Amino acid sequence: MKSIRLGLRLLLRDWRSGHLSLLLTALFVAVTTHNTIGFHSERIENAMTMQASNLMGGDLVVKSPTPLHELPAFPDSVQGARAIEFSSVVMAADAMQLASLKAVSNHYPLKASLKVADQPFAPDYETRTGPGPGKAWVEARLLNILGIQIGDSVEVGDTQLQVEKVLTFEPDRGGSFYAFVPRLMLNEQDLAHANLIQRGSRVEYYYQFAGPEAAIGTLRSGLEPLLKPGQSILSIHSRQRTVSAALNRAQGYLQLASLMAILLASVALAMGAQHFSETRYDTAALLRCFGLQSRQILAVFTCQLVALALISGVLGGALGWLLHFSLVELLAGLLPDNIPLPSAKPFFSGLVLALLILLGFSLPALVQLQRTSPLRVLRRDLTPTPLSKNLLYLVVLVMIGALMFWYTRDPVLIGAIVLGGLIAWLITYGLTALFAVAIRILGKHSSLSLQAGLRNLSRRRLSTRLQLLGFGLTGMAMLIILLVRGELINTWQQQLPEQTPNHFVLNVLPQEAGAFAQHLKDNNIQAQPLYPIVRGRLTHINGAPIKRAVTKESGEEEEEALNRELNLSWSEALPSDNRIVAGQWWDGLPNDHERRVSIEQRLAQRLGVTLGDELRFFVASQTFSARVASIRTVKWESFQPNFYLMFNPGGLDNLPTTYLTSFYLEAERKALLKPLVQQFPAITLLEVDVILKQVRTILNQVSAAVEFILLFVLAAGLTITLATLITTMPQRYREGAIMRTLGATRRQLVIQQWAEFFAIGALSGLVACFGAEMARLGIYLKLLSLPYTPNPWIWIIVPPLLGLLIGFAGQISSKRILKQSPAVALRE
Amino acid sequence: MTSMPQNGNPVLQASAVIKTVSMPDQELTILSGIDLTVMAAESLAIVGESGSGKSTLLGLLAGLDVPSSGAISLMGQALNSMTEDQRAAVRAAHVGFVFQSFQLLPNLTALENVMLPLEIADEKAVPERARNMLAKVGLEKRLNHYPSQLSGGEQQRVALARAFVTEPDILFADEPTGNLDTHTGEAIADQLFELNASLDTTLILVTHDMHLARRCARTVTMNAGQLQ
Repeated sequence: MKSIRLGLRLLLRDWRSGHLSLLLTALFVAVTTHNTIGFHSERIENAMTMQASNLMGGDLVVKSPTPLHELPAFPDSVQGARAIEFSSVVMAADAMQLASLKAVSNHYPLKASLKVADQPFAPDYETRTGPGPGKAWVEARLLNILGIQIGDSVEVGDTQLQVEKVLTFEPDRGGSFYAFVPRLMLNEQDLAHANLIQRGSRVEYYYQFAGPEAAIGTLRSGLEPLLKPGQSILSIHSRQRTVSAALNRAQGYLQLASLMAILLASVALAMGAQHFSETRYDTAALLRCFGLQSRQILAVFTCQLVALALISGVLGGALGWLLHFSLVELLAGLLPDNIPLPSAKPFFSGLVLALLILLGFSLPALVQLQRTSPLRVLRRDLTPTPLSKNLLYLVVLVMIGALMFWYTRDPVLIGAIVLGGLIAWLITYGLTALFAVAIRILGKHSSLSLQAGLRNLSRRRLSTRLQLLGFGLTGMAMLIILLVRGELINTWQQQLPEQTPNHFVLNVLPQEAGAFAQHLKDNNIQAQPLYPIVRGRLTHINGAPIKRAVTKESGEEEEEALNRELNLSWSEALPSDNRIVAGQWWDGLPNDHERRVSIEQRLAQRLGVTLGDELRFFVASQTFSARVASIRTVKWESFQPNFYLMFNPGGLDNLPTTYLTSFYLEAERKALLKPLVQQFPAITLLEVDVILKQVRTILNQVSAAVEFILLFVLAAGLTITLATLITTMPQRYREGAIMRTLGATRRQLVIQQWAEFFAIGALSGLVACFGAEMARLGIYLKLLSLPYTPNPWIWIIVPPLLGLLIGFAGQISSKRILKQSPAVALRE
Repeated sequence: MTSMPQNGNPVLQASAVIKTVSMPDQELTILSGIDLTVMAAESLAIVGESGSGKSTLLGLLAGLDVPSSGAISLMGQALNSMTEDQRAAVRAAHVGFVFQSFQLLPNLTALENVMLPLEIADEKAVPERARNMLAKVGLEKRLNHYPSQLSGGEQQRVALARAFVTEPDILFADEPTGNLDTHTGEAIADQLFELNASLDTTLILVTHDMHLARRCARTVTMNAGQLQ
């Protein structure tokens, strides 16, 4: 108790005299980063959980492209509802719009509530029923587009519906393509009159069930054996795949950036802990001299560090709490509204982090303090025996390893970070060595102050390297974001040749195909050929069920991809951008009416399919087989219609078929779309330029969030400079005083300081440019398969800019050296 | 040679004390065969040239270090057979220090520096006692100044106040005026002896200043690691 009281008293006195700023700042940065990300992650988790219960619209949902004809018997305690989703054109007077239609049965919605309003922008309220027969509930934007009001009629297929309410919230609406087009909800009974669903139309049936867990379990086990290919029991992940993938990736970037910030802050913390112990040898010796025992010395300093950790933990936790709101705001477009607030868990794990890293990095220093000899009061040269260097490195490595594992739990990522760190360290090592040589050669021709400043860097090589690492990594991360974000979309768009199709048309009905092609021609719209589409599923390879074959050959993800229905097509001619890499196209094969298929190269590799293999398909309750005649490469990024599996002419005869095409239309000719959709209401029109805009928005939001976290990396980089300044300040201060005593002017000292800090900034700039270029090289060549062009401008702009910034910061923080009179400085 | 004790009870006894240190190529003997007895309330000066071993002896007598061989007993307790923590307990109970380089903690004010040993001993009325002691050395107006804001003489007076505030049985002073000019040194010495007399403390003082040594009741001389 006595030691704790004494430790806290001494801490309070140290605090007042400002001697704890380094440890506090480094800890504060680490904990704030941890908490901001921690609270944010929990918010995202909460968002997912919240949606999980509502999003599927039931405790169990079966999704099917065709109506379910067979259902197992289920107990009365289970309630069922049905929703049928498809897209179609909605018309009102002379206006029309593609809408995502949802026909709902009685009992819909089973889970959560719909929200509706009586007028656009009026306050909304919850309801547990869907629209009645003859009524339509629509999103407000559909009213705007069609220029109608509540109470007006809309034409949906062959039926008229009266718009009754504005639909503001639909719990089970996924983030699929249809979310881009406005919703119209109608009663299932109206569907039959509307005559909208025809053979081959793209429709999704959702059978939703809610009830007690045991009954749902029974239902699930009854359903599973009945499922045909194409039908699946829905999970939260499959429903929100796109958005959750973007969020997961964003979350991954954020965690990586925050790990970087925490590691950098830890470096500063390790420097601070060493400084803390070095400046307390005298205190420890005196306390021992006054009769404190070694374990009491340990208790005094440990209690000080624990107090510091708790203070930073609480302050960092509070700031992290506030800052996570900004992060949530930055990602607002990807997140639902009203996400439940996070729990206090990140706050407590922040406290644990603070304690762990402070005590972990201070452990060697604490042991040294405990070993201080009381005789030091008589002989100041008696510094406690330091721990072995290997042990020190081991402690630091274990700490860093533990931190990385805590944050990533991914050995591959940890390996990549370690490798990256090693390369970065080697670069800074090489740079400082080269710099030392350069100073020796060039130094003779420069002023003495300049030389003195630059020599300081060589003299304090370890701290110079740490600073280069800190600022270099910060600069690198900022550059990557700045360069890649802007370049990515521009380069991608530039890659596409002029007049690359920017509109896709799906669901052209066979009976309308000729008229549709003619309409395009009449309006002078250059379109790709109409490709027939048959929605089907690949079920067997050489007689082996696909599920087993895929699981054996690859991962679950591919299985998932193949589990959905594929677009099958046939063509007489090989599409212009496809290339045959094995086998032959139809024209080189005998015309023997055998059903043949050409498979895309990557899919063939993934499935282990080779020439001559027999593939079996399931289409609209029919099964048929085809032999693999060729393997093709496909340019997916070309925006031309492309297919994994293409059959020979006649290969898909007598199967429900729709047609697909794409065309380019200039922005000023967009007016032509309206008559097109009016004349062919069953088609689905995808405006790719609109989707690109959406992608750009998501990218912007994710990068803005990552940039926000990079500010923490910057703050952590600055704590390393603060650490260097504070730990070297007594030496600088004394050297400055001696130089001034010997007649050095203020100007000479200023030049010396500028030279030192400018050089640190400029060298860090080089590290940043090098790192950023390497990362871009990897991103372009490996991730995006785009040609890489180095950016010479960053090499010209970044090093001097960073030099000026760090030079300025260093100058401000060392002005005490210039202010203090040499006499006072030397007496201290 | 053995220095003979005067009247009273012995508070410190050293017999056949030897201190050697290992160098890479040889064993260096710093103290050889020291015998010394100090009585309660006695004032003893240990004088000698620089490097004669007087500070090493002071460190051993105060229990800051242990002899290579021989025995030292402080207040009847054998220091040489104790662990460092046991010696620390003896120091806490009986010993005060004044150093040549003052050894004030730079982050603490004058008052806090004086409060420190009282806080370590977990005593009562700590600020009042520290304030009174600082007033006795004439620093009542400098209580909240940091060491860097005080002159050398003032710093040593703070160190005196800190040494006497616990009213130790025995006070060890290592060149207490060594860092001060003659006039200031004289004033500090006056205060040291006044406090010593008023509190009845045993004083063991190491110095190479003969003038200061003469103010002690007894003087012993160190020469090449031996008492003469």
